[in-house]
Formats: sequence, structure tokens, C-alpha cells
Amino acid sequence: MPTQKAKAAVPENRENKGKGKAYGLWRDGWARLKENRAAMAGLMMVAVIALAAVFAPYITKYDPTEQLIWTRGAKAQLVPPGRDHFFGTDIYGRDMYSRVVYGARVSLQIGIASTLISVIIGVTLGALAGYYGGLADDIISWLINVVFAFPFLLFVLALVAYLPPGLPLMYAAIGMVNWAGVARIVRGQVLSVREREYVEAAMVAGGRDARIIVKHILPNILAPVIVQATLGMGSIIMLESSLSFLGFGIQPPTPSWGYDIDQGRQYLLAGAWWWSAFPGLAIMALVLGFNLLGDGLRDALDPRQSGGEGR
Amino acid sequence: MQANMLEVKNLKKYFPVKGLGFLRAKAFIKAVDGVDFTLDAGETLGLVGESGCGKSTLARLITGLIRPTEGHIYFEGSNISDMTRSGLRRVRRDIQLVFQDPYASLNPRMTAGDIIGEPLKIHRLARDQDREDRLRELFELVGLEPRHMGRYPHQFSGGQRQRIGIARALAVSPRLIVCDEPVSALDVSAQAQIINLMLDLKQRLGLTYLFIAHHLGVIGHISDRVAVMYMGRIVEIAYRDRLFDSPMHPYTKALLSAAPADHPKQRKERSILAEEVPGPGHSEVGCRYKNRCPRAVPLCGETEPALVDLGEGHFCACHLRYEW
Amino acid sequence: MPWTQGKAAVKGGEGMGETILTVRGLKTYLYAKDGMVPAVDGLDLQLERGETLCIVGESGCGKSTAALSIMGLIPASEGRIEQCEIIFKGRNLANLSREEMRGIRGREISMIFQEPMTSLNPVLTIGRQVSEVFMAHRGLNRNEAMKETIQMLSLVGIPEPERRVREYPHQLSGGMRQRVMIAMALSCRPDVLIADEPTSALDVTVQAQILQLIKELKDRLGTAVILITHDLGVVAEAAQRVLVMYAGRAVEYCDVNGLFDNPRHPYTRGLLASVPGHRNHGQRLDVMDGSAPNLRDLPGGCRFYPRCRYARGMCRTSEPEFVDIGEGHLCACHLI
Repeated sequence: MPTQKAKAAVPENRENKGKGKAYGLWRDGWARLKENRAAMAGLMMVAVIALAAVFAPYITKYDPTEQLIWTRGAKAQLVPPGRDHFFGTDIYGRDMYSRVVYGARVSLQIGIASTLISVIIGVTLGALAGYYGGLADDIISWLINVVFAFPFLLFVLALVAYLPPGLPLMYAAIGMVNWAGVARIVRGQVLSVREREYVEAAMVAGGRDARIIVKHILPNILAPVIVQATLGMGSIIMLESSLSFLGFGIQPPTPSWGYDIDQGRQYLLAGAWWWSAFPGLAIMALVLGFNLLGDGLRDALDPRQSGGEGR
Repeated sequence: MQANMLEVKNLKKYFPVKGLGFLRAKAFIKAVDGVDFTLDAGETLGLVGESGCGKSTLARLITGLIRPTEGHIYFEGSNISDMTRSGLRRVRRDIQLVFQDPYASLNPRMTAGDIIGEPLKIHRLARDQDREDRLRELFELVGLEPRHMGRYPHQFSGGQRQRIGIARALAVSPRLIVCDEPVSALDVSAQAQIINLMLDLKQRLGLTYLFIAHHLGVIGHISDRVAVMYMGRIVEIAYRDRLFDSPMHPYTKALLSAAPADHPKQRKERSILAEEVPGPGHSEVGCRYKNRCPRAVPLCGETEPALVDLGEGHFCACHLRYEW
Repeated sequence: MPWTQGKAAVKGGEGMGETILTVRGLKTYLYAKDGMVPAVDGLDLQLERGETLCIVGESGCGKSTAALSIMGLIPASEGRIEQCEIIFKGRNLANLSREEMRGIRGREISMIFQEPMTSLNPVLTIGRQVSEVFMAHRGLNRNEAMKETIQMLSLVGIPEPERRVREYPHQLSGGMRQRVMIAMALSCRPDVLIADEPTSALDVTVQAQILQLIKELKDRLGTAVILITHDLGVVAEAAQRVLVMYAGRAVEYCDVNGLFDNPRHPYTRGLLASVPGHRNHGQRLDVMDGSAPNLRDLPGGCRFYPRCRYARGMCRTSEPEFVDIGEGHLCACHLI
């Protein structure tokens, strides 16, 4: 009875007869996510863009870097959207539709790779800091704070000045900086989960640290990490676009939404709105998609709502 | 039966209280502050005390989850309080812990079978078919149905979850089980079921229990001897009937008097105990019960009474023990 | 309604007699992930001025939900109360608007909970929080309210109330916080105090004090108390009458001596037999098998029959009525 609360406590579901093996959190989470219209819209946006990126060669007619129109004269290459070029062409006569679709590849690649790097570093360091505490925690927490205080833009500028710019550099640069947010969340979660009795029970059973972290702690903090990674994906894509916009990101002729927005900027007032507008819409759709999905996941996976464990 | 399965000598555990900012710990919380007792093979020692008296810390010390600040714990003659990690791992097959909260003590991401089977895996006790058989046996031993092995903790009731916790503890065939409030989170009928189960298991498997609880009825039902703990120390320890019928320490008396009646006709006007347990800032000299004790004399403010043998296994830490 | 038959006999007991609260056919559904749960399913109860009624039962039996329903504290998003009667001083609380209910709550019926820490605002001083009640309900100004607060705190046995009013909730012990909650609840001299497991989070010695305090204040202020608990010790200690609940329904109602001396319902007997103690040391307790049914998947007939050792054919098919079996002792069992 000690779990009786001031709030109306729904009597515990004692026996879920016949329910299959899959544990409730993910299944319930998916059920809740499905009911969240905004999140499903987000998922759709991300899915459509991701599919477009994967199947880019099949859904585009032109190479995104190929100059298709060689007519001389100022602005002559700027073809407005039409039957042949859905999104028009840029001043070099390249098909904007192809560039936007292939740009999705670049954005998603950077988003996924950087997120993976930051999740791997962040989860490892965060878990070590939270689990062992003491000196390990002091050092890692200090590192996290240093990274947060670090002027990121200057860091990338410095890197680009010395190293040949390119995709791998972008992954590394963003991943190196973004892990700190993940690590901070993981550290906090591990701190609270390691106090749970089931972790103590595993220790009493004689389990080694690695086993306890991998089997008992990490599976129980996965939800917030997923949420953080999804939300982070949006901001990484934004970051890449901003860097490319400033000229420090993806180097031409590789298609990049940020770069195209920057290039098209000068022609906006001249009436060639399509050059900047379509990459801009694409960024908006993808970032919005990830954010809606992330928010939905947070609500769907929140243990306070799942009723299974948090009291 | 071999005497003195467990012997605890002058055991202390101080937790540092972190100061603000960069300054490191200066103050300590003396959770366990000089505990001595012995536990014979085959007996059940009940440990009773109110929240914050250090009884859970004591359970964690004995099971090796935390290391003592001072003092020693001997299990069958060998000192387990300064063992290496690998040494501890072996001892863990002999000493197991059953937790209070059947909700928090089971990993929500593991099936009942995996939870109970984990100690078998860790200690490589049984493989494949053997493990399967052993699991089945453990499930039946605690009154669970083996066909529910694949279920997750949230699909069981509170009492069933506690059975899972008990089966997990039994998996490595321990000899001593430390039970940290194993029934206090359960409903009356589930509580009775678990008490029965623990009595049965003790008889069938020849277990020894250190049974911690705050509920006097539960302690009285299951224990052979009872130790009363107050602010990190044992203030009285005696055989059950002796403790319940002729308590010596004023705190034990207060505790027994505060216990609710069994029957409305036994309601009594009771001497009300001063409520505030002194915080960390109180004077550390003398008896720790002096501020609430209705009979305190000047001596109580000067020296801390030692746990003195009153004969017949009755020990009491009070300067005035014979004058009550 | 069985109550009307039982009423004459129910009187007598403590000689108070006047009924202050009557609940008839209370049904509360709570919304859960997969549908509605009938948490309280047709509860009748009757409370007399100045008496202590204990509602006892295990978790999920609906006792807390029943209390919250009477208080009008089931938010529309969490549950729904079916048409029923909650007659308090001649008015049916079930028909009042939220606004009208707010006027009654805290002033005429108030409630305290198990964990006082969650009911107190951690960033406001004790004095501020208690005096707020006086200001809101009695229209006093800040100084008068503070004076009343200090008086009230000393009434509930808080030492040095002048100093305590300046402290924050976390500076008080659990027992002291519960005293503060009682002070707030009783500040408007309500007719009914509903206490939901007020001592379950407290130590034994503190529990004894809080029960004593509730008893003293009840006698002094003439407040009727509904004490919700799972602990038969608390019942033995504090109750005048007892209502036993099982799976959303009342199964037995009688005065406290009757319950302990002559329990009639098999569930009540099972509960009493489950209580451990040093007098029956080491003996197996005479337990009820199994656990309470899932409220969404109730057995047909009597809700207790799957666990009942006396169950017969009719228990499986028809649900027993809650009827007077003599001298105001009500019981819902076919076998009486």
C-alpha cells in the first residue's frame, strides 16, 4: 500500500494474461507514438526525405553537379520551375530538384554519422562517469564543461584552415562537440539508475561491472538517449547547413542545402526565388520532422507515463 | 550445527556529507556506528528499528555491497570485510540479499527466467538443460509457475515479484540470507504468504536469516532472537519472548508500547515518546537516546553505555538497565 | 437500500446518532491505458457525527478512490463518477458544481494524505501555508491568520510554533509534517476529516502519536473521521466502526469489536488470520491463496469466490447483496 498517492491511483494491472514476450515499454511507446499525430507527421517527413535520399538516382533525371544549360548571358541559366526541372535550375544550369534530393543524402549522412559518433562517445564517457564516480566523474564532467564552453565555430574554422574540408571532417568535428550533451544526460541517468535495487541485486549476485552496466543500466536509460539523439539530429542538420552557408562546410560541387541557400541568396530579389527556397524548405521539413518525432518519442517513452516502473 | 556463522565486530560505516562548492566532506553521517552481534547457523535474528537507524546500511555491509569504515565481519571464521573483489564474489554465493521493494529490485527489461537465472550464469553453476531444470526447480520452490518464466516483472503481482526476488537469492544456494524489509511493501495477504514461504524455505533448505523489519509483528513472528537498533547502534538484543515480555532498554519499551493493539479491547493510554530524533548536529557525547529518554540521568550525558550481558543471551546498552 | 434497515441498529454505539454523511451506490471509473477500471463499484457508507470509521482493504480495493470521489477530487481527465448520492448535511455533493464543491472542501470536509511532503509546497514556509488557509476560508488578514496558525500548530502538538512557522517543510520530520497537514485540515473546524493512510509512511512511535492526536482532536472538535488504512493494527487502535472493502465493494461493516470478535465475511477472517505476531511465532499463517482480482476481468458472482475456501455453487453465479445480518452488522456473503 505504500504506493498509494494523492492522485487517483489506477489499480495495478496484476496479470496481463496472454500478453506476448515483447516488453511493454517499446510496445506501449509505439502505441502512444502512433496516437500522437504531430509525431507521426514528423516520422512521415523524415521517412519521405530518407527514402528520397536512399533512392536518389532512381527518382532524379539529372546529375546534381552536371551543368545542363550552357546558354550565355547573365541569368540565362536560371530556369524557373517547370515540367523538366521541377525546382528550376541554378545559375550554373544545374537541376535544383536533383540538388535538393542529393542534398538530403549529405544532410542525413552527416546527421546520422555525427549522431553515432556523439552517442558512442557520450554514452561511454557518461556511463563511466555516472557509474564509477570519483576521479573518473570529476575528469569527465570537467571535459563536458570544457566542450560546452568551447567556441565551436572557431574550432571548425581552425580545423578547416588546416585540414582538407570534406564529409569525414564534418562528422568528426560535429561528433567531437556534440557528445557532451549526450554524456551529460547519460551521466545523470546512470547516477539515478545505479541506485536502483535491481542494480544492487546484480552486484549481490556477483556480476562484474561491465555486465551490470551493459545488462542492467544501459537498457534502462536507452529511452532518453534515443530522444536526445533524435532531437540532436535536427540541430546537427541545422549546424551543417549553417556551416555550409558560411562556406566552411561541404565544399562545392557536392550539393548541400546550406551552400545552395547562400548561393541563391543574391538572386532572391532578382526573382529567382527557387534557388534558395527549395533547399530552405527541405531543411525546414527535415529539422521539423526530427523535432516533432523527438518530442513525440519523449512523451511516448517517458517512464513517468508508462506506469511500469517509475513511482 | 556450527555456532557463530556470522560475527560482526565494532562495525562502522560513516557516509561523508558533501560540503558546498569545492569544499570536500567535513561532516559524516554515522549510519552504522559500532555494531556487534553474532548469528548462529540455522537461527533467525530479527533486526528492528525505525527509519534512519542504519539497518539497511548494515544489510549492505554484510552482503558486501559497501565497505565498512571500521570494524570486521567474519563469515564462518573468515574476515569478509577486507576481502578482494574476487574473494567477495565467492562469498556472495553464501550470503544473499532479499530486497524491500519488489518493484525496484527487478530489472524491468528482463524476464523472470533471466532474472532468476542470472546468478547461475554469473557463477557458471549450470549449463543449458541443467540450467533449465534448475530454473524450473527454483520457480516451483518459491511457488511460481515455471510456465511464467518468459514474463516480465510488471506482469506479476507484488507478492509474486517478491517470490522472484527470493528465487534469485536462492539460485546460488546460499546459507545466509539477509532480508531487508522483505514484506513491508506488500499487502496484508501477500505479506502473510511471503512470511509462510520464508518459514518453509528455512526449514527445507536449512537457511539462516538476518531479518530486518520495522514492523514488530513481523519480527516477532519470524525471529528466534531480536536485536533493536537505534541511531546506528544495537541497544538491546535478546531471545524473542524475553525481549517482548521483559524489555530492558527504554527505547525497546517505547517501541513495544507504540505498537498498535492486536484487538480494540487492548487499547491503552501510552507514554508518548518525544518525537524528534536529534539531527546530525546534536551532542555526540553520552547515550544517543538521552534526549528522548524519560529517565535520563547526568551519567547518560557523559558516557555512552556499552552493550552489557545480562545473562541468558540478553544484552542491553543502558546505564539504568537494572533500575527499570 | 440496506442502510435504511440497518440504521436503527447502527445508532446506539457511541450514542452520537446523527448521520452526517451518507454515500449510496458510489461508482467510480478510472481511465487507464486500456480502458476503464471500475475502481469503486457500488459503495454504500454512512458516517455519524463525531465517530471514526475505518475503511480497510488491500491495495487496489478502491478505498482511496472512494475517498477522493467523496471529496470531488477525481479530475475529469482521470475518471468519472456514475450517478450516485453523497449526502452531506442534506445536500447531494454529487450534484454540486466544481465551484460549490471547492467551498465545501477544506472548510466542511477536509482530507490528509499519506505523504505530507508531496502535499506541502517546498518553497513556502509552514506559517505561510497554514495561514493561507485561514485567509482563504475565514477572510482573516495576514497577522490574524498567523496568530491563528500559531495557535493551531500548538493545538496539534508542534513544539515552539512561533519558531516553526518560519521553517520550510524539509526542515520538519515526517511526523511533524503530518501534524502540519492535520493543522491545515482542521483549521476551519470541518465536520468530516478524511485521512488516507495518514500513518503508513511513519515510524511506529510516530504513528502512535499521530493516531493519538487525531483521536484527541476528534473528541475535542467533534469531527467525524474516515480513516483509510490497510493496517489492522491501526483499525484496532483507532476505529469505532469498520468498513472492509474488497475489489471495489464493501464486504463487511460493523463496530470494531464485532469485527475482531466475530468477523463474518471470509475475506475479513482471512485478513485477520494473516496478521503476524510474536504470540504465534513460527507458525504458518492461515493465508488466503492468490491475490485480488483484476478489476477489468472480475469473476462472475461473488468477487471473492476464487480465493474463498467456503465457496459454493451459488457464489459462482450470483453476487451477494450487502445486507444487515443483525445489530447493524452488514455483510456481503451468501453463506451467512
